[in-house]
Amino acid sequence: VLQVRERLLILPIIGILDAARARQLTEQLLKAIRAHRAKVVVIDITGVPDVDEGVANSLVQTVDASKLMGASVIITGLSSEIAETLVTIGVDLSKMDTLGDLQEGIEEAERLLGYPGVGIDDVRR
Amino acid sequence: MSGVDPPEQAPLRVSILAQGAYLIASIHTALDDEHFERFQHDLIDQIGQHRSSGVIIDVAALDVLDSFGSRTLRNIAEMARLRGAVTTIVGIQPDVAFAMVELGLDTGSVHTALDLEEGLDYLAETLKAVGTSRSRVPR
Repeated sequence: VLQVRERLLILPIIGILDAARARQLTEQLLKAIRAHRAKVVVIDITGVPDVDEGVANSLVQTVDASKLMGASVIITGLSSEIAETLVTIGVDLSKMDTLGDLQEGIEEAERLLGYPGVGIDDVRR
Repeated sequence: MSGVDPPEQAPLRVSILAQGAYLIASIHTALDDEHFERFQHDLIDQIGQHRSSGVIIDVAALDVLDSFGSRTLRNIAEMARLRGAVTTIVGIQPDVAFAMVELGLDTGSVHTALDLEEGLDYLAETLKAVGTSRSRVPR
């Protein structure tokens, strides 16, 4: 769990997630939310090759638990395979905010936190 | 509050403080079902007495929140809404949050915030939005 801005945490997940690891991640994240007084958390799962139903459900639990602690969660970097799997196995992800990649996730998080927006147009001179 | 409560009125485990337009209820120790009901009754009562427009329920001291507790908190928020007050629950501990989602409990549509300070910010923002116009204040 990394802090990139005041009140913004990023949780990059790399490698295969199993139930035990997902649980440990959730516990760590919740403690970090408390410690950093985080308001927004971006969970980036670009480095996760595959998910099954159990892992998807524990992600949903992570999001719900963070919300109970007053932090909103954005999930980024769902690969096309994972998106397909999730919809096919029918996990209810309607409550989750997902965005394409980490960059968009951070931009959205900064918007939520009220930082002045830096759009793509500002970068292209 | 006083030490000479009648037997059926056991010592209060929740303090309800009026602070401006807000009521701040902090729960000090674990409550059983009966205490929760009494707390619910007291709080709803006081919203009327103090004409409060916001309610903060601080559960930071609780290390467990069962289904009855979370349902009561949901009910309180709904009752408060009917009496014209916005409710937020603050201070849910990491372990409690984790246990709640594992048990499939949630606070429904009730807003939750990290701590008292965040809760106050939320109420100020929400009530400002409701007070001036129906449009939400941009974040």
